[in-house]
Amino acid sequence: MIDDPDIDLDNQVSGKLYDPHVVGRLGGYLRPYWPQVLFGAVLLIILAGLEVVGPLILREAIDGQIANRETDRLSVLVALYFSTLVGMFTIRYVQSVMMNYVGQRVMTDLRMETFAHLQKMSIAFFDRNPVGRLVTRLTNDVSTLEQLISQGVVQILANLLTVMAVMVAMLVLDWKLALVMYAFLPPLVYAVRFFAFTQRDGYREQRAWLSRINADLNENITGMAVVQLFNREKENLRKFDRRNRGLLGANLMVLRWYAIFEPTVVIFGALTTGVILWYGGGRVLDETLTIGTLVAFTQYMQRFYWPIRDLSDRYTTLQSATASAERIFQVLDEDAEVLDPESPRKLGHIAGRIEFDHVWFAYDDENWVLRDVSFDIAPGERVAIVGSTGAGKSTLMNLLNRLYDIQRGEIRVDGVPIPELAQRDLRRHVGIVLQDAFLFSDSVSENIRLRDPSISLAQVRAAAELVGADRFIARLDNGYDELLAERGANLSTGEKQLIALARVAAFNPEIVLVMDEATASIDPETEAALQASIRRVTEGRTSIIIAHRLNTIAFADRILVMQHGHVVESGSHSELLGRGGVYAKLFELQYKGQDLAPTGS
Amino acid sequence: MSSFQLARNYVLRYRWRYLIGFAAVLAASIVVMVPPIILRVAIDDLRASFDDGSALISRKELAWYGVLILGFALVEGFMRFGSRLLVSGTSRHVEYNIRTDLAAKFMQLDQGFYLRAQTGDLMARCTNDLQLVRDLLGPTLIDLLRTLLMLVIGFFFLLSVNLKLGLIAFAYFPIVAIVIASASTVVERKYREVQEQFGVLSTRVQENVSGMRTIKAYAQEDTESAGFAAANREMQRRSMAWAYWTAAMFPLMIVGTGASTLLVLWFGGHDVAAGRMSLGEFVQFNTYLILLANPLTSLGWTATSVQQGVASMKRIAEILLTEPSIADPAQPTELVDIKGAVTFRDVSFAYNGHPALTNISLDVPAGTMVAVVGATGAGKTTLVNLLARLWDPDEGQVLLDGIDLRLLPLSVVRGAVGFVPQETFLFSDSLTENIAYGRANPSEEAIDHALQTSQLGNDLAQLTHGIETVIGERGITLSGGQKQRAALARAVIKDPAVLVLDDALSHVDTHTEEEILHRLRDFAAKRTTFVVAHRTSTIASADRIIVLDRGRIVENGTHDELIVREGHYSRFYRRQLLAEQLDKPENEGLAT
Repeated sequence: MIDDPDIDLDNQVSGKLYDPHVVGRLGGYLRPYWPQVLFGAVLLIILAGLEVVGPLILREAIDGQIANRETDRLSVLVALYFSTLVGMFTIRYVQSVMMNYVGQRVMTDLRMETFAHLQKMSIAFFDRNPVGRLVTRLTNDVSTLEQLISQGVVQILANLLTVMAVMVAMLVLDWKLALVMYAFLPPLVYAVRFFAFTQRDGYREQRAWLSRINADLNENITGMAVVQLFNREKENLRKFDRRNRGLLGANLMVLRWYAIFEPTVVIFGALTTGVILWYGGGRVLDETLTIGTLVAFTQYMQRFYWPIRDLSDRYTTLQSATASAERIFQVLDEDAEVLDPESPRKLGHIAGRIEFDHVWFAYDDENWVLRDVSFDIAPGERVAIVGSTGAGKSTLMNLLNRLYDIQRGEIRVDGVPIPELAQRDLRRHVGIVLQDAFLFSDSVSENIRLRDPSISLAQVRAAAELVGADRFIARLDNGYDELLAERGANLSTGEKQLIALARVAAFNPEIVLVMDEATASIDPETEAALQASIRRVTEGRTSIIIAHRLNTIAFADRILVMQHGHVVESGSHSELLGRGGVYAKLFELQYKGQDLAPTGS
Repeated sequence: MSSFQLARNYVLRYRWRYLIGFAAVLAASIVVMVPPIILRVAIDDLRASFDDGSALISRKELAWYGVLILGFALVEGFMRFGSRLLVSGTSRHVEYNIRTDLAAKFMQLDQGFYLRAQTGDLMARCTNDLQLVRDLLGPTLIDLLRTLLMLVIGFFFLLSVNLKLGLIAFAYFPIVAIVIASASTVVERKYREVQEQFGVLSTRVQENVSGMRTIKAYAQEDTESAGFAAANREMQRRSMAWAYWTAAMFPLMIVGTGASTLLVLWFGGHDVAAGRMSLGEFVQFNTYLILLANPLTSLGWTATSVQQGVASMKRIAEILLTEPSIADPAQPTELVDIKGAVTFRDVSFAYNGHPALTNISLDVPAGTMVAVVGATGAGKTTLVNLLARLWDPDEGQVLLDGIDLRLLPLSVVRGAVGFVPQETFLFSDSLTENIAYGRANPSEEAIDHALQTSQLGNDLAQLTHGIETVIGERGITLSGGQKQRAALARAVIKDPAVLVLDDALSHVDTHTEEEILHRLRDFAAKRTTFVVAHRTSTIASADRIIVLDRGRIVENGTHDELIVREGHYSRFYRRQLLAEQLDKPENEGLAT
């Protein structure tokens, strides 16, 4: 939870208790379940009615029976009391289950909506939002909201209804004594409100200190090497201690109010009991009030205070739930940047021609990554792209896949400009092998077909065999059913890439993009297997390969050389080598000799 | 020391507050039993007057009874206030102490610890676990004590009112307690199942978002949604299974309380009618039962809270009881005027059994500039890390001015080394604060010098608050090059005897880098400098070049010596020259 990088974002939400927009929108999620909600409300009213029955029975038992030394109807009253109890238990239980059900359904809906919304978002959105933040929206924030529905609103309603029912019952029993009791209501409500407000400020201060402290701690842990290298342990600890003391102060302040609140309610209770005894007792002496009524009033008093006292607890629940709702809605309100056309053109089987026509692109509208790039790739042609780091090679791939939209120019597949296609239709025809193969914590076969049920297990096996991944899979304890750890931590880099290649083979697209850049520590056997499988996967398909290995370049039909966002050279290996230009230098640098490869710069 | 002893030590520090707090709980539990007695007397008096018409009790006396009830409530309220403030308040102090101790421990722990630990896990212990421990030592402790005291004292009072009814209550209460406790156990188990599924959902979202490129590339958004929907439904199913039980808890408590009234009504009613018990006693007894119902029903939750707190304390103790493997020597050697001569004597080092450096021997006189070159993973960073004693060598010695680093106080070793690490880490604080990391309260001159050397001065004009601008998470984001130059300024202002640049200018553009190196030359002339670098001009100008290959020094000499040897270095140098040529932005003008 605290891993949540949201500390700043949290401050952006208003945190207002009642924001009509947020509440109204939340209400919309309740609409499909209105019969249950209505039923629950009816139950609450019945419940509030039953709540006042107990003391009435007690009164009848005292005045009508035991005070007169009679017991003939006592068993009836006890039975009545018992049925009231059973009724209350049943209704409360049914009502609670009902509201939990509604709460859970709404949460399931909201989670699903948010998840589906994320699937629609463009890659740029994921570049902006850290993973942790999005996970928190879908998990913690949704759970906080659930409390609002199943506990917050309902409990508040139930409390109010109970207070009202008790007030009515008291009025009916003895209106004079009832009015005396009412007199205590305004000061009590005022006190509760006062505590709620002071507590709210205290909680806010508490949260502010806590998030600061946690950010501080997180920063120190991550940067501990620097802290120690600069002998800053004492100084940082001193700073930390100052904040920790701030939190202690805020904590004690909140606690002080809380500690005062509880006794205040106790004293209020005692005060009313005292007054009932004095005023009611006097009335008993006048014989205008029975002892049974007096006892019933003392019992009502308890039912009267408890709900009011409970209201202050609900306040915090409501507040954090509203903040959570606001944060979830912020995500839901973000629009996708890369949009499908209104009436997309359909692609059937394609030949696989690719055209880049004067393409300009920048991730941030400012620093051009591609500058006026133009090239054609014929169906079935294998093209290798080479160039130093940052030349714009992987950007080409992202654009052809339409993960981002270009600023100027046009990209066409089989003559169709790609913005005229539905993104998913386009991507079905373009397979991609990413350099850092992402694996899911699922079985090997599900990782190959990405849980797509339209690809049979036989196809999965065939794909694995085609790329030669079957050999290492056979060595796994459970073969294709072997569960992979998070991010495939139990596989080597080479094995992960083989799975990524098998993925392409299984999906069988007409166009294949392969990222084959420098990877550390791959054993020669896997290395050979990888090269062979890249060759097989690209066979007969239009392919763009970001090449690292000389062998990969060698089997390409053509080589495009990129530098600083331009295509600077194009031709076959021998042509380009003969030209003695950028490619010749690159070749000299990257592909000749491997023992002391320079890094970075 | 066990986690229990650790917790005990924190508590014992505040033993008086705890003891007084406990005494207040005891007092409150006794005082709360008094008002029902007054109620009884009042009701019995009222009834007697009612029955025979004689004025046994006057309004004035009734008023006094009312005042008495209020008085006892005031005492009870005060005791409750005191106990909350003392015990819960003290638990806040304990929380504060543990948090400070954790932070202090983090400062001491070595890099080996941080390599093994995960930040998220450490943070969880400092937040969730700490909170559970605090609750255990505060509210939970009070609840537990109050429950036990109330039950014992309450039964005593119950029996004093009416022996028979008291014994019936004795038989009844354990039943309620057992029913509720066993229901809580089921609720607890169902809740764990919900939590497990919650974890599954989180992982799903986590993976989905992390693997979004792959998912989009294969147009698998719908499959992902379907998979999530299934997990989501399971979450709903488990939540409902939990709700069926938890929904019963609160009604159960209400019924538990109500049923006690039922018992009194039945058994007590007959006794009152038969004259074996007064009406006042009847009311008093009933009031006690209501009083006792609350603590009784909360027993289940209190028990859970205790369990969680104990488990959390164990996790916190794991950190607090870890001893750092790199620490000050017992009797540190004094070293005042540090010259900066560095010696590696047969040093070997391995991370978790993977050798990183093997038999490194190296003698660097004070004032020498050493360039360290080699492929990724050759051991360059490890070598310079040993120099600042971020790690200790497994074998051999690293010496500063002829003294083993392990014999010197850590603060002296680290004070002598100005380190610019490969991955820049700046704190989200103002730029001044970040630069002053190297030296407390630096003079204007020192700051100016550091800014000039690192070429950061020109960038300040672009920042809204100049050098006071806050950077990082709570402020603006600096570019990679700016960050590296800030880190350099931080090391320069320290005025160290040994300066280490671990590939520290990789994001700085060529022109600025040359400018920086030019200025550094004067600074470095008086200092021992280790530079891990790739740029040919930097390397060639070093007094000495060390070539590392798979953790061993394979070549060692000046640029001229090594270049004629036609070995690793000359190959590296030629390729690097070529790379620099290729990277030269010759076509830069075209686009803009």
